[in-house]
Amino acid sequence: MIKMNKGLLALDENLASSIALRYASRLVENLPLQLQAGHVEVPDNKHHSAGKGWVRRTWERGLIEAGQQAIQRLLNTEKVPCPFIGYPKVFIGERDDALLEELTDGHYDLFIEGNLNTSDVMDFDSLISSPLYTKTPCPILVVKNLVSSNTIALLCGDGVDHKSVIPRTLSLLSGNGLDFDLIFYRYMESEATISENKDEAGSALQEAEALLQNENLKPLNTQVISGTPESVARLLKKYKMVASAFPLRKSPRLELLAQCPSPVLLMKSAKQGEKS
Amino acid sequence: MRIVIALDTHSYSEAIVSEAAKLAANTWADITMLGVQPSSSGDMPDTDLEKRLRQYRKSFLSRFNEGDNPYGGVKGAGKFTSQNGGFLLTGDDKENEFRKKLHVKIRVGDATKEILAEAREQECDLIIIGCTKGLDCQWQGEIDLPRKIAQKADYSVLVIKERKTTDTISCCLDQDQVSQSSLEMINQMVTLHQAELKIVGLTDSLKAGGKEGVENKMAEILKYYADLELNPWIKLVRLEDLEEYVAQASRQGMIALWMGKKSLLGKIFSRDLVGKLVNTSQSSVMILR
Repeated sequence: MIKMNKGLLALDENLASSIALRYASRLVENLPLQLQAGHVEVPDNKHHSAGKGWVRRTWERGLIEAGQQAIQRLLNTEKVPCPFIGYPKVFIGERDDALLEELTDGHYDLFIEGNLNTSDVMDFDSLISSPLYTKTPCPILVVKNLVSSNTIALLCGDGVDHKSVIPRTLSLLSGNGLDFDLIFYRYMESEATISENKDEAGSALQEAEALLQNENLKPLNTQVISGTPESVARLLKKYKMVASAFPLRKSPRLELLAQCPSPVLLMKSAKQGEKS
Repeated sequence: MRIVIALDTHSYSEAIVSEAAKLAANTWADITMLGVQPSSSGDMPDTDLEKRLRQYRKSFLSRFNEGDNPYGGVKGAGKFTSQNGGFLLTGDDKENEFRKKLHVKIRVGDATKEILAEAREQECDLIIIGCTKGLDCQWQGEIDLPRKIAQKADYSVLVIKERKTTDTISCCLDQDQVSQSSLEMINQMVTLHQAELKIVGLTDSLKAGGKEGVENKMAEILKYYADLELNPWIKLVRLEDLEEYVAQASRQGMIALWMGKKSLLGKIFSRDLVGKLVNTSQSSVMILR
């Protein structure tokens, strides 16, 4: 029996959330995934200590209503059929803290949020170095663009423990109508990209193929791709998402994930706090 | 919609006629095919230019099936007759017989000034102009003419690079005002070329609030194109990274730049950046106003 996963979709009233909402509405068609929408209302500093008792409760109620209205406006504007588990949850406080608390207490299997692709790699670096990303106890799906493909790239190489990452990725993405490509990324200082046979990755890609086979899956393509992060990222735009291990240090793979225009799924190891 | 197609006698001009015809077929625009000859060339139309313009007109009309052709006006060869100091191709038929106008004109004087003057008189929506291939973008015998037109025109300008296919159209936006006609023009270009569409937001990291304004407009544009099932890619680029981004994007396809009155690019860089973009881009360039 297929396990139903539970995902938290963080929404704000902005472009990134519009894209994430549209993307998530398509994702639930493919995956056994139930979504809870969440929004954080960050109080103004001057109103933060708005009294006690009834005064504070009234102030909090006002903030929650404002948050609910913001999310409802987004849902009304987008008009996408995205079934949620319940009403959107509105939290008050600092964004990272509030979402992290919900992700921990709510036992979610996936955290989804929109984040626009930018020209500065440091933006992505800052994102994944944030307390929210480093401490989130589940995989994180960063939605950068709407992609209509049904093929997912499983990115290996450059320090990825594929034996750990691939089984957990597959358990999350075991849906209908999804195909997988196995890609071993290798940095090369050249504007042109080179695609090579899987044997060039040693035993890594053969082992990865065996892991897919364990789940009765066969990759559409298995290949080694060499190039700069920028040039290889352009090749990755054909994928519905690019799944890889959560990058722990600055590396070509981190830069590749930063430059990748498609959504990226960041899988954490058990050591990094992700539940098994 | 009114389109002015600026033409001379060289191959890059010949190459843009088919693209202009495709755009005209989708938009049913009124078209003026314009050639310019120097004042020193006498009181008669330049023979070579006249011949070329007739060929371009024939080539333009050949893109339409008999039943779908919204243009007409002059049947057969017609003749160039003097009009307002220039020459207009005229025939015996009544113009109103057809729904859309296809005028073929020769103006006399400085090419840049006359093209801009014609665009102003027509109150056109778009000027289309061709240019040489490669890293430079020129008209023969007219230094930097495409750049000058793109810089100085008050209307949208499409500079088509000779022999460059358009697989991707990257549209740069740095303001919260975008005209409906420019959105539709991009839609037409994407459809004509079966190209991938990228909406690139330019953020001014120094100015708080600027990013949000651009993002809100991008959200509207995304919805507009998503409803048309175009699904554009979204990217944010900092102003200081723009030049590098444009250089890279122009290797992949056409660059379009929304340059409205509120454009930061217009304010900060005047129109120099537009000129630089036109001159150095390896692909076709569209300036949307």
